[in-house]
Amino acid sequence: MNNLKEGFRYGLISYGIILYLNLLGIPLNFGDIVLTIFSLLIGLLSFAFLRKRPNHLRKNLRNTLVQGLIIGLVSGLGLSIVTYIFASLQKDGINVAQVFAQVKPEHTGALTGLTKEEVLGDVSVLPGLLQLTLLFTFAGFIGSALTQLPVEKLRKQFDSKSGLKTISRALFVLPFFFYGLFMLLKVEGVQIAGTEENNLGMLFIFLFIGAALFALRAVEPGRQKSILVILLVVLMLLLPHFADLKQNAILGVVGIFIVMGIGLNIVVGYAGLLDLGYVAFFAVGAYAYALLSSPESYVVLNLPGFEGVNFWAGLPIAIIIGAFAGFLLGVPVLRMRGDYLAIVTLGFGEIARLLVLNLRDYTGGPGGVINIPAPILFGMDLGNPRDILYIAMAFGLIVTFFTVRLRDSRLGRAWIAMREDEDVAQAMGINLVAIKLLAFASGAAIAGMAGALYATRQVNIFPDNFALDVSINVLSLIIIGGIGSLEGVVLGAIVLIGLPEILRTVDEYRIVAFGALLVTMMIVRPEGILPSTRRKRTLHVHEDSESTSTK
Amino acid sequence: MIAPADSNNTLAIQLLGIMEPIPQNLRQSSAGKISSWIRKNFITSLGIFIVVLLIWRIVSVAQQDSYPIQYWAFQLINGLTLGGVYALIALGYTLVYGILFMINFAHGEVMMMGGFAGFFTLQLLTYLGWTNDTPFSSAISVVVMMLAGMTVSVLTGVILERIAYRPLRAAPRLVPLISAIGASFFLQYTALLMFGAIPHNYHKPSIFVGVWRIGETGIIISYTGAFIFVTSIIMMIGLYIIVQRTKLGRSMRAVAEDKQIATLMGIDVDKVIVFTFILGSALAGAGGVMLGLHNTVIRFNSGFIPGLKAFTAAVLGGIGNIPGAMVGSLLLGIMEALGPSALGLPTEYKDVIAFSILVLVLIFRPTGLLGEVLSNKKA
Repeated sequence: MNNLKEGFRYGLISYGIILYLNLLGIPLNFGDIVLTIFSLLIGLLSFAFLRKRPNHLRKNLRNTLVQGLIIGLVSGLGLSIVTYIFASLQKDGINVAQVFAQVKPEHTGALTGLTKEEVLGDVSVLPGLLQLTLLFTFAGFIGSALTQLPVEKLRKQFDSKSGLKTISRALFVLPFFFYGLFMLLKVEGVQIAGTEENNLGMLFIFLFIGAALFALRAVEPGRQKSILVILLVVLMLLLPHFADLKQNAILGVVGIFIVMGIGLNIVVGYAGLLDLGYVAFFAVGAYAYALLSSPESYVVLNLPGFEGVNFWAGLPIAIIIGAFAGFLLGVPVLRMRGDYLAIVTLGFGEIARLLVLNLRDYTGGPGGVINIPAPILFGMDLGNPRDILYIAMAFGLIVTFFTVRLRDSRLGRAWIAMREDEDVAQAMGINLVAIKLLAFASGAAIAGMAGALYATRQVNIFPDNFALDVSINVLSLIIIGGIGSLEGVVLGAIVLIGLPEILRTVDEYRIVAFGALLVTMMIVRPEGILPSTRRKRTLHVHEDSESTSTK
Repeated sequence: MIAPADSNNTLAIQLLGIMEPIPQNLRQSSAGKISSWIRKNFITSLGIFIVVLLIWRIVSVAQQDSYPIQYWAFQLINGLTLGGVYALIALGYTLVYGILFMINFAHGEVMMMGGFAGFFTLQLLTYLGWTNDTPFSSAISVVVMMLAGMTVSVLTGVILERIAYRPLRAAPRLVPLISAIGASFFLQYTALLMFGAIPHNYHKPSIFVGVWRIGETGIIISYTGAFIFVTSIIMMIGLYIIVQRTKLGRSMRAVAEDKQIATLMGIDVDKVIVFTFILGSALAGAGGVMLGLHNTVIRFNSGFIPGLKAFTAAVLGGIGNIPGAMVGSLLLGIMEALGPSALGLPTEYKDVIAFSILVLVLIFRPTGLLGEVLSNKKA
């Protein structure tokens, strides 16, 4: 009896998740494959719930299978009832979409295998719902059956260093293999979740970069690592030549976000100052360059004889103004810690956007600044996506170099000391004021650099480009990638910025997914996917001491 | 050998701030005295400078263009109404901060969810014809709407606590904050996807249509404004009684004081924390419905800025302090309503004013108006 109750509880949780996704419009956006997605999810949930129970319960085959069946049945019946209600309302001519914007007749149709006309007409949805329920029940059953596999052993192998190495080696080869296969067969019209065929190539590029990052992590420092690094750099330099226009454009955005991520990493990762207004500096850099260079900007129009600067002259100015803005915003928040700092910087980010929006005479207000010139080097126009990507790569390398040098310097160690404990750091003779301001200023300088590049890439910039989402995107990518680690920033940018660009159907769910990822990450793996060793140790030592102190 | 403190020593003592510098026998000019005082009390003098600047600006603006008294009265009433709504939200921040010492970043979104629930209930009741039938049924529909908003907010708040905050209670402080930021965006964009990007317009129930005119002065009070102000005051008093007089309120205060000792005294800390979230979210839900009635529109992001402002209000009054949140909110509402006109700025700058207040309070009086000095652990 107890068993049934437990299964029922898990079933209700899975039903809650499925219902949530349903109302979010997954059926509408994914069409016919929605049943597959939901079934997979039910299987996964059933597996996850049943696996974490104590061993003696898990080993009990009958018990487990029955619970799996209940999980599937409850979710299936629940979803069927809701869908049936929606369908009857729709048949009566009531527009459910006025409340739940995504629940349109097509939505109901996707779940029941009917067309829009059939849903609105006389065709009953019941057979489709029966099929749905059976499918979910089956999925729950399969999920529970899978718990009987010896997963623990595999997991242990993965966790040990050698396992990680094997897997990352395999991962490193796989993308090449698939890419080659893909090129060889020239599969036409292959689509995964709304990708187009040239996007599939993009997906492999991302996979390749991701695998390379894991490989970098797995290889011991020494000659092997140097060879790998050189190999990767050469490959990366060749990449823009093989990629097409669209792929280069996407990679360019990823590159800009990587540069920003490295900058924010200094502030959040090293110095431990949670800055939610990072977009302000990005905006300062972009507007600094835009106002100084665009022939239609306030500065150029009102300074007689001033024709506007070119990119290479504007860039240092943007960096310096960015750094100055960081310094300026750093001063009032010197005495704040943690939560307060986060909220105040968030306020600053909003103030920056509001100012840009409302100072119409200078910034152009909502009309933005248009016709920002492209960078020109030796008479070559570098405004096309490929050259922008090269510039972004160059910036990334420069910034990485500076950051690594800074991190290992006296200043970097002071930052890390401050992050761990401000009071102790101060007692050790660290000048908190100076290093905090330096952290803000260097982070902001890098954001200014990224901003100038962004402005020249976009040609026209508007205040809406600098909304709060940018701060949240950058913060999410460094936290999910692995706070304080440079590989983590790249991985985070690929996963959070790159992937949604090519999986257009997923794009709508980008921020919802970020939110969920942030929460999950904090609970499951607060150090991120590819953490810096020091950070990982800190977080885990903390856990250990907490658990021992409460015992 | 005992030597008089040499200049190097004095400087060192001054820098360390251990004690007052030894008075020197040199005759100082009064200007010199002032400048040395400024150097010593940098923050205070900066504050005085800003206050002088503000007063100068207000006076000069007042001389240039004088609005009629009715305008100021109207803005004041508007500010009090807004302040009432902020107070309901700010109390949620303060309650949670008082117990968990974390900023519930997603609180504004909890409020927004309540606002949406209120909106859909209102639509349903309008469809059924309750809202415009008789004054009695109209009043009932307002009550039902508020209850619906509060219920949905409470559900959101409790689920939020269970999923996003409870597993992280022992983690370093940045971790729950990041989780809260994630939750905030999750809820915001959930609302966007679920309910659509279009603004939802509240149609006022019939009892709210109309205004009071006070005598011949030309001052106007809308029914909605009066309702919001009075209801929020009643709710605040209710909350105060719950926290001060009931057994659960007593356990809340005990948990806020010291979790471990509260556990030893037989208090179920988890239960108390959930109860705190329920209280805060219920107030936020009511606030969301009222904000919808006040602004006559609700969108997926209408919880974010009011949430930030309510947080500002909580900080202004002294975070963790219940009367402080109320006073701070009313003050913030008034400043936001009167500020732009008094400073001669366009009304778009009202958000800038609110955030500037937050920054200034945190610089000059981090404990807020009524707050006590918190130990390092809590601050």
